[in-house]
Amino acid sequence: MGKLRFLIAVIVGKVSAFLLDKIFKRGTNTPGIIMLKICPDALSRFIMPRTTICVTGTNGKTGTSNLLTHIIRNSGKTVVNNSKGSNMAPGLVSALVTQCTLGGKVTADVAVLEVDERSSQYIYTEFTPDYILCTNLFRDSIMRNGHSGFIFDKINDYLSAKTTLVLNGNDGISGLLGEGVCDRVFYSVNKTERSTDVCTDTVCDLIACPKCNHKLDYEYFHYNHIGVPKCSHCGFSMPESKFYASDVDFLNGTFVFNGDRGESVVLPFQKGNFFNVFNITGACAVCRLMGIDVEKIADSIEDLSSKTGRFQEKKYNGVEVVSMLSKNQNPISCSQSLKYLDSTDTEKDVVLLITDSNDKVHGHEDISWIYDTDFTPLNSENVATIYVGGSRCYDVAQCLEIKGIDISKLVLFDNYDELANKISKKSIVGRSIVVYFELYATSVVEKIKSALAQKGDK
Amino acid sequence: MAKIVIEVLYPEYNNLYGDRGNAEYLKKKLTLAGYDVEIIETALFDEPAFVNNKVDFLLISPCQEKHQLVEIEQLKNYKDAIKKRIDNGGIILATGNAFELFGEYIENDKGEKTECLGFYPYYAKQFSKLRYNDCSVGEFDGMQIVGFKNLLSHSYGENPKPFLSMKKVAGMNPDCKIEGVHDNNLFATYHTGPILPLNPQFTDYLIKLADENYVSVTLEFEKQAYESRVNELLK
Repeated sequence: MGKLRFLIAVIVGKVSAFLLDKIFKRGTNTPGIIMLKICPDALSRFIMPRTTICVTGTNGKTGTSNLLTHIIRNSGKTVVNNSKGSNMAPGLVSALVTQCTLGGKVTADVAVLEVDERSSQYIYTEFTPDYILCTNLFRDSIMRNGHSGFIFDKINDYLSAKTTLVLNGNDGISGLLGEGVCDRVFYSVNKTERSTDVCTDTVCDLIACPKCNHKLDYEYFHYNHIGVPKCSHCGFSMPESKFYASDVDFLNGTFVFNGDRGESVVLPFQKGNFFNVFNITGACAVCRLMGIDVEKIADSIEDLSSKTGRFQEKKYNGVEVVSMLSKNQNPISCSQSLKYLDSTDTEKDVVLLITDSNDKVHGHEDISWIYDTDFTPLNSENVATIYVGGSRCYDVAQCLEIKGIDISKLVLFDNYDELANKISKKSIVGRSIVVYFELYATSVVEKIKSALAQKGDK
Repeated sequence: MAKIVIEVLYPEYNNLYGDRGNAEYLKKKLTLAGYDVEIIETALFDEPAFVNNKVDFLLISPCQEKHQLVEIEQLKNYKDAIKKRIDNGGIILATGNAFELFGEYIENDKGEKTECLGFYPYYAKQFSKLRYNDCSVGEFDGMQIVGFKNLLSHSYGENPKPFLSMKKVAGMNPDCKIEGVHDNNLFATYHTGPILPLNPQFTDYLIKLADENYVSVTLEFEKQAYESRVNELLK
């Protein structure tokens, strides 16, 4: 009965995936949703490929799994991945059904699957990945993720001894996953010229020792709690890393990847995006464990276009618009994006669309996270006007005042159309506009851009 | 210049949801009002400043459940000092699961109980793998207190000295319309995060408890932020 149900689900899934792709030209989770309705245990019924890799963690999942997919494909293997759909069970099912036989045998050589941290219990119980790469664990959206300990338990409780964990050796939170249960391989990034002795970010999610609760010392910090923790009270420290990045050159955007067999190679990273070094090192570690040559890895990374959708720049009637996606309700992501303001000398206006623009549908937003965000780059001399948009604009403005931001620079609009018109009217040629937006505010960004584009037509 | 001391208890753990906003807001308002403000951050194994020194505000924010157990054991060493502070009218603001510290016990999802300070007869029960999220409004002394809740537990049992009577969403648990504790100047509430910046009027009320000569200072946008939230939530 179960077999028949799965067969029907696969057929329906394949047909719906084909139609959706041809007609709507987009990948969705719909095939997976339908399939799981027909056959709730569909995910466990696929015959998974020889190598299955899951990528999870708070930040860097998508970038890392896309990079892994790219390198493995370049090494000559076929890969199924869920980059077009969601990172929850329906997204995984939707991806797998496009590359399987009617019997559910996945035909690709390797599966690279991005997995939402909170979905662990619905995924690792259905199949056992050969590798799970966890990029890091941080505080994230309050409403979705609670706290990092909650997410840690969600992953840790569902790990199998058959899975090899590939973990960030600079993260004293996710680095404790699978202790005593799984084989664990660590990767890390050596001290750089930008490492600091004390944490310079607003948030540090690991101040006390995870073993003895006394204040934790750090040899140095990369950012937030990512660094080299060492407890002088109980002796806790991170296990040695088998793979590591060294010689990070921020000016040229290069670093050296070092493997466990003495192999090393110079690799590029997206300039200004230090997280990228961690993502690449993590992806390379998995590839090395799979036996892919270090030269092959280097070639793949060289030809990878470094631009991602999260950062875009374009000119409209002489006004350069830089738009940066900042993850919803995530103070770490927002703080890191704001650092961009310190990295350029050009005169600019800033637009903050960081609170939920779709709150009419999602409900009243818990804005607690803005108090964990570091807004100090807004005080940069190069920042002229700061526009704040959305129904929670007064909350953001109040928080900015409490945090010592010069509020004479603020212009507030709870209505997005009025905001877009105002920005366009006040825009000055040669002065750039930096827009920080959350996921649902894409349409507002478009509104601002089209207002700027129309300005020249008049 | 009058001096005000704010003690933040165990910030290495009690900082989950923008809780730092409470001390930051107090400091901002007090500084603008002309006070000299000192913030003391006390780590887990250190003796809290309030035990032997003058502290105007004692802030205890929410933490992860496993850390809560460690904190309770430490706080039991200062049980008498905390009781004395409450009886003498010292200000304590306890938010999120810090509300549970003052009750009888906390029971985890396996049924194991951890004894708390036992000042009030309620008890907490943790639930596994599910979070409780809410935006809520409760009433205290004619003020509408707005805030957020993000919890992995609810509380039950008798609560003779509640802080808020809820107008929107749950109190101590989904079937209860009261929540928190108000005893002298102890204000304990399940609300998480920056409850003070969200409630400027209540913050002024608290500061007046610390110094009756305080002349209220209003930040530029705090009223609009507060009013738009109350209106939306009570709509």
